[in-house]
Amino acid sequence: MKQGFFDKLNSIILIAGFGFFTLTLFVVVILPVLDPVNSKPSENLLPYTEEELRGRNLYISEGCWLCHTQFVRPVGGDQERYGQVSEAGETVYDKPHLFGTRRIGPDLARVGKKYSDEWHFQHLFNPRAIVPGSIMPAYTWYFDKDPAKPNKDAKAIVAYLQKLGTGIGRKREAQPAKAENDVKSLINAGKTVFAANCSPCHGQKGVPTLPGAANFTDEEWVHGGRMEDIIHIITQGTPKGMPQWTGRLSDAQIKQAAYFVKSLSPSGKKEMGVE
Amino acid sequence: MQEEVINKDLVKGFIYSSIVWLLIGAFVGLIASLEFFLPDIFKDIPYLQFGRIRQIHVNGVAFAWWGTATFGLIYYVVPKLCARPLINENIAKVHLWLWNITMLFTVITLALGYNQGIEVGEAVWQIDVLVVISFLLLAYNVFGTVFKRKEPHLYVSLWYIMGGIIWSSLNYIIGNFAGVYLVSGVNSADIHGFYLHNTVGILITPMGVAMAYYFLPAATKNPLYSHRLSIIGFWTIAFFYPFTGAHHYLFSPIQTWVQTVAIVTSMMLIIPVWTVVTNFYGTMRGKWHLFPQDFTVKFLIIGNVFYVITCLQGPAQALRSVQPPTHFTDWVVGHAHLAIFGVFTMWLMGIVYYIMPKLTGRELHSKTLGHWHFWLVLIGFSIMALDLWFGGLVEGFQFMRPDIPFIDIIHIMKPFWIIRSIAGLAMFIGFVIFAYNIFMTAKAGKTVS
Repeated sequence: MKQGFFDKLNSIILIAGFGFFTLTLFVVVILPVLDPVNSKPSENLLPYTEEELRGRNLYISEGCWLCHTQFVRPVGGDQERYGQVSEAGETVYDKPHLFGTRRIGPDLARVGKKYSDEWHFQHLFNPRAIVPGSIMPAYTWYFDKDPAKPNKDAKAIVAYLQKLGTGIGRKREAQPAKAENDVKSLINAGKTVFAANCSPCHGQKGVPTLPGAANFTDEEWVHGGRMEDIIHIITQGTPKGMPQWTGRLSDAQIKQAAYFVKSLSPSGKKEMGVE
Repeated sequence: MQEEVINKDLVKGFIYSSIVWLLIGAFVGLIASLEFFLPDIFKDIPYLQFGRIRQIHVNGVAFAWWGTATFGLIYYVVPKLCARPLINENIAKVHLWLWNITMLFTVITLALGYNQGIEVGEAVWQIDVLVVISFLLLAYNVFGTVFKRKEPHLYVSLWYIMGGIIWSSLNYIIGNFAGVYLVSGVNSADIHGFYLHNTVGILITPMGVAMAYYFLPAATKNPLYSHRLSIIGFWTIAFFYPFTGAHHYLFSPIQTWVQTVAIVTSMMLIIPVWTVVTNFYGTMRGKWHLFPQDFTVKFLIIGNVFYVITCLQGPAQALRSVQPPTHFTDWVVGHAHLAIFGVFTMWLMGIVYYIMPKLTGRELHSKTLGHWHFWLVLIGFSIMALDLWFGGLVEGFQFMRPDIPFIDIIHIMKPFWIIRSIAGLAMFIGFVIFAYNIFMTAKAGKTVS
């Protein structure tokens, strides 16, 4: 078999080996990196604070980026679900990037300021208490046995999460995410669920028509007033006559109703940041 | 009689340790899969959460199983094709120990939460340094032996091994150092896509194909069907593959032209796959009766079928119109398993069946166990792949409906995840049977007549 140009040792090592690799490196790595568009920070983007950076490193070490992506695409329903499409300048301080390749959980590129710190602590401590059916791990080691007692690391993680997506400034308000997890959207959706299912006993606005049914406009929470308590009661019912709604309402509907219920009391309004 | 050029103990060291890693990597994958429907199964144990063990599975099967076995086979194939022993067997022994220790460090540090945040490059930089040293030790022996070879003609497997070493060493350094410490944001993602797909395309693919090109002719005792096709395959893989990396981040803020280059070159990869497939089926001419009889032929040819599917599925996934229902879903997970397991692991397992008699002088301990192994992994994997693709499409189409709450999609996926775990269990049992069979062959197999 005659050895031609293509199976000579030098061709293989120098051209196919080093040559092609270097060519590709130049075209799809060096040229794009030299493009200044990728190094200019977005309008409102500040570098990470020390606490946020520590939180980010914990996010990396726990592998959160394996389930949660961080970029909103212009396709696939991303914008309606998550908000504004991600810009090149938003991740200028991200070393390394955390774009992600799999959505086992929702994208977090615009999760910043969507939920209160308290929501995040409750969710991190036991995701299933806040989102029934969630498969996210319970990060109990960041707490002193109680979601109300986050340690320094938990606070750092939440500080990091609260920054995500805030770098585009006013552009963010121009296109808020519709869908499921925005607190206001949840309360709005919950209003409909409540009216259809709960109002016969609890009244349209939480003042009960059925004697013995709970009043949601006061500050008395017999079975506990945390979000997870309310979700639990709606799901399981109580021995005193509140029915079980699991199976009759989806987990998402139960969550929406719980948000609406909580928003009916003065302290609930304050905690959730609504009127 | 031909002078013995192989250091059998050296190759055995790599092969046996690789099988231990196969069991570990697969087992970790199995328990990770349980967390999808039993999320509290390891409650309060940080080291066993999905976010820590997922990369132990990936690094375990890609580097620790596949890498270790492949290094061993390189130390078998290179001396054979150069008709001389390795220029320095002691350095190869250092490589064996260094590599296994590096893999052990990788597993431990990942469980403890030390993580660079780069998929398939999670191990911290200290481990990266050890990996690069391993590559350099390998390069020294491979290139040294090739430069001093007694057989003047360079067989195709040697091109792929040499190219693979050059590409992988450069790629590993760029991905694990430049992509993590030198650049940020979109640039970091661009380098990561480059690194990630190069690991599959110009490390795993060339080495895997190199081995199949050697062991299929060896097992069938037929010459390779076409030298010219092997040239076309090699040069098109070398040219097109490194451009494709951005297909991992389509519709991200990476520049559109870079993404388009990635899509087009992903399509061009259809060329080399046809050369490889034609060459393998051509090499089987007149020897198809071996397919039911010979485990090596069985695994290599089935792996070849999966190779065709992988290299048609991959380009299709890179198309912009196919992205919305597939990207970010289990569909892609299915594709990844099709490549790393369906092609490259099936090939390696088949080659182990071939090489054990050569290394130990003993016949396979049990053909029955071999059949159990084959069918368990084939059926288990087929169910897993179909489950991930169907589930992935269900997931993807629901992602596209923003009125469907995310948590409702999780509920719909749970049955698919349960099926995946059952399929994975079947595969794991198959691996255990394989490991037992190989172990018994080494200890007590009948001497080859």
